[in-house]
Amino acid sequence: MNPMSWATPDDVLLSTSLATYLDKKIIVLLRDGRKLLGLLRSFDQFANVVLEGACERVIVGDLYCDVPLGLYVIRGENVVLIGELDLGKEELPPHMACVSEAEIRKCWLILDSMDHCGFLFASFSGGKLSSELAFLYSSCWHTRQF
Amino acid sequence: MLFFSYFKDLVGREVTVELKNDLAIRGTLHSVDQYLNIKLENTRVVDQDKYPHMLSVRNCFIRGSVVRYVQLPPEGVDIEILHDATRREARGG
Repeated sequence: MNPMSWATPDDVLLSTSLATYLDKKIIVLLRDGRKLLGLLRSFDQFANVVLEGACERVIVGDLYCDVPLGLYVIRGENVVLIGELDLGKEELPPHMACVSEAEIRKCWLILDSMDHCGFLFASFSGGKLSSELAFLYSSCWHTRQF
Repeated sequence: MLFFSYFKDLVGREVTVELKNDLAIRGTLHSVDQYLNIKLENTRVVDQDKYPHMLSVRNCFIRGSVVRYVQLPPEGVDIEILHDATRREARGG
């Protein structure tokens, strides 16, 4: 390769290269709606990435949990967005509470089953859901992705 | 290459990128590449309450394949120039 064609530090800073996020804490949004956090250790032109100390942030309504995963290699086609986390800012709004993995899985299952019988639910209650149920139901829809 | 060149001219402008998962992000266009991958700076999510995990994201990389729309500032669109460039490209020049 001609050394003249190598990218200079300035080229990297001005390009879409993920090099500027190397060794930083990032959040990766995946096509299935999952959110993975970790240190960016490697990447390529397809946005295949290697995350060290990866964890999945499961959010259900106002509850969340970081499930530890370890070292992850993510295939680029599943990547939607890679965000650099600003360490000076709160990662989540103050009203959100951290709960255990067991707790968040339970909430997830409840919402998931509500989603499956959402239609029945609505018709049984005469189309009127209590505000609490409506909230749960709406957060259920919010967590849906493409 | 037409739209790649086009987006390169928009670097530094404020744009809103709407993704195929309905997430819409507003920010300053930092850079774009041949896949139309986009890097945004000073980002904020349009519907912040719905996407709390994006709260502390200021800079982000968006994979070109997941973009649905890029909303541009009205002054960023010059139909005349685009029209001419399209004809030139169609002629193979």
